[in-house]
Amino acid sequence: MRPLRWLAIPLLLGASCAGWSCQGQIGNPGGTGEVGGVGGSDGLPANAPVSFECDEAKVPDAVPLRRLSNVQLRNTVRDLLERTLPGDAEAIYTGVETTLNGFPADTRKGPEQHWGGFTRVDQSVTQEHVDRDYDLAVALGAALTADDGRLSQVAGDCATDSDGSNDAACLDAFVRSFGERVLRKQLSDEDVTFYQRPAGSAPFDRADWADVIALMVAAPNFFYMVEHGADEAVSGKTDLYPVSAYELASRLSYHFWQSMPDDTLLAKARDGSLFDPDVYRAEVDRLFEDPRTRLTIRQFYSEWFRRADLAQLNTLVGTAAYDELRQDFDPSPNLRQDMYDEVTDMALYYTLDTPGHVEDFYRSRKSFARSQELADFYHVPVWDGSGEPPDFSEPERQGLLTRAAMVATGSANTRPIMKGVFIRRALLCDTLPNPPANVMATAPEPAVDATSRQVVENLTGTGICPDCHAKAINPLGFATENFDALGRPRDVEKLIDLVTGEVHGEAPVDTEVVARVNPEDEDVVKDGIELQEKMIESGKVQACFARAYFRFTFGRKEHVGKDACALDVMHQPLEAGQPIQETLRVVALSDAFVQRNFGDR
Amino acid sequence: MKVTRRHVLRGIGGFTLALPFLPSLLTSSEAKAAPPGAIRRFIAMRMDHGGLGSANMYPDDSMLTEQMDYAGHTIRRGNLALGDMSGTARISNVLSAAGDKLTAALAAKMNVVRGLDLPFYIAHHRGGTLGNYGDSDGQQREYVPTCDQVLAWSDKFYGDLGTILQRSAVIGSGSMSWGHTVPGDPNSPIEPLHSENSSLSLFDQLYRDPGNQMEQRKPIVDLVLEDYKRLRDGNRRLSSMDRQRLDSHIAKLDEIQRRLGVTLSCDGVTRPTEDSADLQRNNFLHNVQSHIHFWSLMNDVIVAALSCDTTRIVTLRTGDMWGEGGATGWFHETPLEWHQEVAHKWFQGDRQQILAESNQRFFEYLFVDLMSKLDAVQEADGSTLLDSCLAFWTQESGVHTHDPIDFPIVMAGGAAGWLKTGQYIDYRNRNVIAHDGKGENDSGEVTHVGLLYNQFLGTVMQAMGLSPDDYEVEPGGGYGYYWEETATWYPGYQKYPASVKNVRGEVLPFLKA
Repeated sequence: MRPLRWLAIPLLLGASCAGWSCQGQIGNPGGTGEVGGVGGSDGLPANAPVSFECDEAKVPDAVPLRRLSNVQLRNTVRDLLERTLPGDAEAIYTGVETTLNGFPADTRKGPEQHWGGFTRVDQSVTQEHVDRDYDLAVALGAALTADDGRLSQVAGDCATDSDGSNDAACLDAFVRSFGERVLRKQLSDEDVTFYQRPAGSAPFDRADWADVIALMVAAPNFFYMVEHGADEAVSGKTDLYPVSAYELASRLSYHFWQSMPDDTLLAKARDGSLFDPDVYRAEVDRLFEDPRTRLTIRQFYSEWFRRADLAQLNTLVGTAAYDELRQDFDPSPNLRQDMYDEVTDMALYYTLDTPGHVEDFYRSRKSFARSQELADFYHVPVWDGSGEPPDFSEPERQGLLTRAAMVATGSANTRPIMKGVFIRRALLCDTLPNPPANVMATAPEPAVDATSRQVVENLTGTGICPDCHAKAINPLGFATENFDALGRPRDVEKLIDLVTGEVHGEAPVDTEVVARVNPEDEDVVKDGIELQEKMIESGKVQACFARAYFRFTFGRKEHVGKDACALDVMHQPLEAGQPIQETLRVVALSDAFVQRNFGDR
Repeated sequence: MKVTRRHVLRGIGGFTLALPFLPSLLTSSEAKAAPPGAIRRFIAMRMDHGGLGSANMYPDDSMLTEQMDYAGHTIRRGNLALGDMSGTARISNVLSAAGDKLTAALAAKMNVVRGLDLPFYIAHHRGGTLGNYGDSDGQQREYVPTCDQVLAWSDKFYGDLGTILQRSAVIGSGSMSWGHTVPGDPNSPIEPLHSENSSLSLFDQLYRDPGNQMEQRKPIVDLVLEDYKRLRDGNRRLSSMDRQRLDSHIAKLDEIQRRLGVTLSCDGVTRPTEDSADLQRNNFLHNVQSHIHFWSLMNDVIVAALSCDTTRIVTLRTGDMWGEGGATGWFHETPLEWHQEVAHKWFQGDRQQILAESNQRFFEYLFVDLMSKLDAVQEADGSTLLDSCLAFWTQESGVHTHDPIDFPIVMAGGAAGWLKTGQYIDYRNRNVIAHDGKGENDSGEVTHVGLLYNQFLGTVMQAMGLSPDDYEVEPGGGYGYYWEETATWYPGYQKYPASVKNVRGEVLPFLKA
């Protein structure tokens, strides 16, 4: 998925506020410890932990071998071509791009549908994956051997000279070297013999070579991250093994670069030096400093902070209610992506360009708008991507929650419930149960005489609704109701009939709430800026950062009990006030990164 | 106009298809491989939500001219009649279309069925339409493969896979079709199949150029398979979950290997120049014309695939307008947010009107468009491609959004003579009320419980040539699990007597020819 099952949940959740089953209050601790369920163990909302208790006796769950994500697969193909046939790499890549595009798209999967989810967690393997993987292998085999010139560069002159007597040795050497690169392991003699089989007996023609290459690209070690572990189990742990040197090289490379190990990393795996702690740390640093890591971290943030309910902002242009709201503002089809990018650029700036902290995300007054349209929208100069970004001129804008991508909807009305759910689930990592089955899910709809907040309050103010909505969800969304559905600051809300576009007056917005970031906190906050201070103060945003990055790193949902040691490793730098990038780097030094539980065999 | 198999199908997507490329379908070997009437095809369509009022969805009660006692209550049927209003042929408000498309001949090949329910609450779901009732947002229950995937892997349904490139084509918004990761292993996990939104990709999956295949060297797929098996069965350390994952991959490689032996029965196929996926990328959601175009492109590929017998199973789902890149639309230009402001407001008159318009367009531009195209392809014996099909369109919910009571079902095709068609059938028990129409969020429409949807899907499976032993998870249970609802608020709570439960393994009355 897409995987589409998770898509229905947010709709239901946002719509079903009239009947939340959370009759208790937020605050029951963590349920079973495994996120991804429907609330705590008793079906009530679960208050996320703000620290992680590492118990060395606990072992992370065994998980099945991971496949490469679509991004990783594309990068691997590109890098493989660059290193095998640099002159023709781009042309060959273009030639196989249709096949690559045919792989099913990875969808964001998180503990609670897409909230806090990442495409790396999507580990589905459908028939189409296998079909395209096979097609890709055949296509690459053919492309790399399309003529003698290419084959000669790929396998050496021995592959194309007129001397057939050297073909067997030529093929043997090629399979060993190319195989190490493409399969990310040292091939055994048995492997070498196996991968030569399509060629038959020497002398070999180009078609023989093509089949050999195709067989290696179609191998399980290419599409999956196959791991067998080292010979000896971790002391005292029956099923827990350190990964091998090649496996570790792959883990490092695919985590930071989303691609295959380079020759340097492979060499350190080959000679075993990667197990030397100093060498390993140096390799972690080397990979982290590489520009490819920036792209990886960009993906991490862009997926984490992407609100799925933000529609393209030009879609409803020409409809009465939307036109009434936007007046002469004419959003282009690119504006939504610009808004998404602005948030991602903000996070990258505080992560890689400056030694920033998670707290900066929620306090920054700088604009990272890189398009003229978004910069105009913010009334600031365009940021060129380097140097000091300009400050917002609008006093309402401070911190992540006030940026356009966090408050706009692309429709004529704001969605306080959806904003609240996003904050609760994706940014605080609290667990919200799904609504009770017997709820007739009806949406809040702007009334002619009420603000969006009033409509939501009325709708969720009776029965069993308030326990969850009034305490856990709505206030988080109300706090930024001083921004309209396009993401513009406002003091008053224009009361627009959604169907006719008729304006029935206006009413002052009210952003004052008891946010209950922690369930016991009854303090009043006056707006989104103060809400963010509460979020920082709670410690939840720091802990949630560690949890989100765990999912991204390991491609699976975390268990706050069994994965506490790894989470603690990532959380400690944040807690200690170290820059964010230390957490991103230090994950590679955790035991979880270098070990694997093989569980039941 | 009838298009014989010797004519060229011309799709709107820029491709043509000559049928067949072989000298004749009437050669003895061809006739033996595919005797007329023997091949059955399955098409299932589903639209998200539901909430269509009876007055919009169904013909007038006066069409129900016959009745009989069954399962403890009276059920009804009558012949479908087609009204004509200024060039629009009409069965009901929703079931209406241009008169040159919805013809009397086509209506005679349809059935409109109501009064089929799930006895338990399912809320939002996807797989429930084809029997995986566990795939529900309301309550997590046990999963089973959807019935289309049972067909896809049934030797009875696919007696001969000689032309089949894809056992099933799954289209549109995802998670309607579910299958085992290792189809032959009932202990393997059950996952949704990939769903295709690109008509061009679908075309590529359902065709390949036979000429190129002839020129290929011996494929290496057998060695790829061997590679996976030597890893799976080798002595290097793997977890049981690793092996399960490899088993799944091996099963899919087996399928690739099987396909290499396929001989296509079509030639002259020109790859389309237009792709439905491109439409989705361009302001798609509120653009009715784009939706119509999108599904017309898909329908062309479906018709061609069924004509060439490269698949016999098609499932498609429209919905998920918030899907990132996966939305397949609602056939309506309303600026209102569909899920919350339209579908969940089904009980409001203006929103019901939007739902009716949306579903009418689905009916005309997807359902009727596809059925009329299928009916235009004539088989050697004078029957049409549609005659070999059992196609049906239903919704996520019944009259009330979220509640699986009184699913509307529109069928077409005779399943190669198995089905009786041209009927309006009502299985409701009019003495037992489900919704009283007096709820806070209610339209005032009273609904009644009827027979079980499990029975409908079981009937479908038998129409496709399977026996109950081939598909039942519970003896005499129809298709899929049966659960007693324990929530007293459910409008169907304790309203399905033993007389209804006990017949769910039977073929539904009125439907068997």
